[in-house]
Amino acid sequence: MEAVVRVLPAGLRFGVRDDETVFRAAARAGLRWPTVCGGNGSCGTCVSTVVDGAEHCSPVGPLEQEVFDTVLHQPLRDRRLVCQLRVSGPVTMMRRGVRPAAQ
Amino acid sequence: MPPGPARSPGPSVQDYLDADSRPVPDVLRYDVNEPLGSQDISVDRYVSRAWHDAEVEKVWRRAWQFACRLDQVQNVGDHVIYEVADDSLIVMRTAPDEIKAYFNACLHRGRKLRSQAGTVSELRCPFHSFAWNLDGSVKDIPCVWDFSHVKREEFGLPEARVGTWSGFVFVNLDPDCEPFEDFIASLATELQRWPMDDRTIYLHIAAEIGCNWKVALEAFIESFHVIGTHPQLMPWLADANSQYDVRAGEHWNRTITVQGAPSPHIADGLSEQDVLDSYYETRAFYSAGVGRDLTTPEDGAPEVPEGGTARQVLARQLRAQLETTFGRTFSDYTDSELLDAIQYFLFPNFCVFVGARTNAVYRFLPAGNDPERCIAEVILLAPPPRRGAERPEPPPVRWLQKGENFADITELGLLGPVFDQDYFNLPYIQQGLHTTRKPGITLATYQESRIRHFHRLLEQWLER
Repeated sequence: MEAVVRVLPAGLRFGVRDDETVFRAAARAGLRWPTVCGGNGSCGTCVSTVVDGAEHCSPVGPLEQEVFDTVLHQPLRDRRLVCQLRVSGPVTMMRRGVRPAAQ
Repeated sequence: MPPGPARSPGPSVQDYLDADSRPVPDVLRYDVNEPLGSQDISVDRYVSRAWHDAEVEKVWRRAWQFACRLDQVQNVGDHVIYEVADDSLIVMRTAPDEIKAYFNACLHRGRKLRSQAGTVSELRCPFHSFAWNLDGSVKDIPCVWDFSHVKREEFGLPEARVGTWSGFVFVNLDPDCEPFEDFIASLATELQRWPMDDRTIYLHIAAEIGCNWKVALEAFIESFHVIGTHPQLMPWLADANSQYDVRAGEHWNRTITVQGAPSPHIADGLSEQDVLDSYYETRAFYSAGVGRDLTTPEDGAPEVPEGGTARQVLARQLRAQLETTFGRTFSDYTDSELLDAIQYFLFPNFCVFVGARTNAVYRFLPAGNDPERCIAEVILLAPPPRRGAERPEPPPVRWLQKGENFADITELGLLGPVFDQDYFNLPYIQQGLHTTRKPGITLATYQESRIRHFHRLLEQWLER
């Protein structure tokens, strides 16, 4: 079963399997999400806003919380690190700069 | 009588062991206390910057020291931060069969790489995003075009030494230190009867205390203080007739304090039934599921039969309760291993209780570079869970907040107020050491011989 994630403002869509993060699913779909660490949960660069479908998002783990506390220095509110995020249903996210890798 | 051979009135530990319901192993049967003199211990050891600095240089940067339990670094990437004075180490499982300790500083501008325990897949500096692989090799140099002068193969994270024994992880900051196997050999042999690999962390408490680390340590390696500090324990704790084992040539020592027998200070007039009833009333330590001590059943505590002892009854009851809780037999353990406080101290700061039940580990470290403050930790190790039961995850360190007491930690049961009694003294000792006009503290020859032994070892390390 794949859940569909939509990314604004580009309007891209891709499927996320339940054994992968949104970041990995995007890479599998040929999309490049802004990152420095490559999805290891240590740089905070992939931070994105959940516009819709928060109820389908996995809970925030200790590593993700630490990046918000010690790197971003901001409360999570409606934001997530997509490299730590798993989804169980349709989610719409906002992140500028997500685009096909070839571009 | 010359100093040394004098002992408390009342039965000795060995007398109590003679009456054990099980054969007592040799490790509990020796009684050795090599004389180390009776000189006062100078006060400046506890209050002076010079002593502190010397300890950092000669002890903390050279001696093997307990860093964490293996449980805390179970999976690859799991790590804890071990800090002493100015030094900080990332103690991490770097491969399924490998634990390393990295000096916690970025090789670029020096920022600490990690500020908290956790699980990571790389070590990335939050300053400029330099990153290292878990094996310590450099992974990512941002703007590498600007670092043509850096050789990647020389940019690995410097390591401290690591050794493991009985589920404990030790570290040593000195690359030229003695091999861990040599350091631990004699204690490992001594403690063969009590392997602790399978034990799980039930509770890990840490508190910052306003006293020198040695003041705190020394409050926990003698039972003499029960008379003043824990009066409620005396009906069932044989304090003054504890056994203190000290060999001058070893870097560890031991106390055996018999429980389920009265203090010689108040033994007159206490019946065996009084001892048993008091034990039930005030030794309900820990919580259910990890081997809580006996609690009084609704129909009252059991009766000590005519001619019997409280220890016999308590040992029988504890054995049955532990068998119910943990689903295995405790029949090979002596009464002593079920009832008594058998505590080992390993220089410089590792204290461990052994035996069959939930046991404590104590650790005392200077807090930063302040000789007036220390970090005191209590780690309670529960016996292995029932066969087939899931091994519990180690709980995070619980820092005692200002105004919070050990008594507020419900998992401790009636052990909480006992710790409060101990910790309440500590800042007052430090304050008294500043105001005293006496140049040294005066130790009991026998009951405080482990403190003297500790200072002898400290002197030896400082002279190296």
